[in-house]
Amino acid sequence: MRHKKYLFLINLYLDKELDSKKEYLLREHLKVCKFCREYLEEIKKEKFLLNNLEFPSVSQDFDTKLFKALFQKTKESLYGLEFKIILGVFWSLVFLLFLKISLFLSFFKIDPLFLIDNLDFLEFLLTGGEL
Amino acid sequence: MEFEEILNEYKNYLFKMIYSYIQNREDSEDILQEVFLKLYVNLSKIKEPEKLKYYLIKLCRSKIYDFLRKKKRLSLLHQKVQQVQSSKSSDSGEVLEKLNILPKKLRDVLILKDIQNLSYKEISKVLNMKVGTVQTYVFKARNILRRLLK
Repeated sequence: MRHKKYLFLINLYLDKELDSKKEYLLREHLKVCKFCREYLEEIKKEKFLLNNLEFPSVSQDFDTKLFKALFQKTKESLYGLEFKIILGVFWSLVFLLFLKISLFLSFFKIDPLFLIDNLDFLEFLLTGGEL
Repeated sequence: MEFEEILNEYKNYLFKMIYSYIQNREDSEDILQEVFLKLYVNLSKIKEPEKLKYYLIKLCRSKIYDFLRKKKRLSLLHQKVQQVQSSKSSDSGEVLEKLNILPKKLRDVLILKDIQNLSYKEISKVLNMKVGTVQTYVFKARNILRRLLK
């Protein structure tokens, strides 16, 4: 395309992003070039068309729906937090239980296999000494 | 900035952008809702309020493309493309349809430039491109659209 450079400048000119020197060059060219003048008009129309497209507006109840969804999300995340806390406490208790047993076993130098064979003794440990 | 203030300021602006791609009011509102839900969660993390606009546009764009990917997958599954409720008879609907024929990058820049009225510099920030690349893409996009609209 012969005028490609000017066509590019026309776009910048219409977007008001062309420096004064190039704008002068373009204006001079436009005076003598019908092809570029026509291109300028077409792009101007296209820009206008895109700028003035009709869009539906957001529904009036959009905000209500959004806040409802936000409330639901907050609720879910709170329930999620509760669940995580309960789970955390549960595993902490399990950990403490194993710690108690292992400390007891190491303190009295008892073989863990002994516990498997003597479950009564394990119950004795877990209930804190009440058989 | 409060969440409600942001909602009032950007709701229609972002809806316009989403609708340009989706051309369906309900789906566009669903995407817009997802955008604001995500914003609500991350609002405290946005330290520079001047970058909020770019953050929202980026978020919108990623949600739009997620939606379009899902829609494409679904339509492939059903072998039947569900027609969107676009206002095909109106000029706006026709222009938007033609606009959506453009390649992804060209469509993005043209929507941001001529519908969302961002400057080249702003587009370059949103799309992580050089200003010169944005200018070239806008130029190409306008030329293709010009031919499509003829």
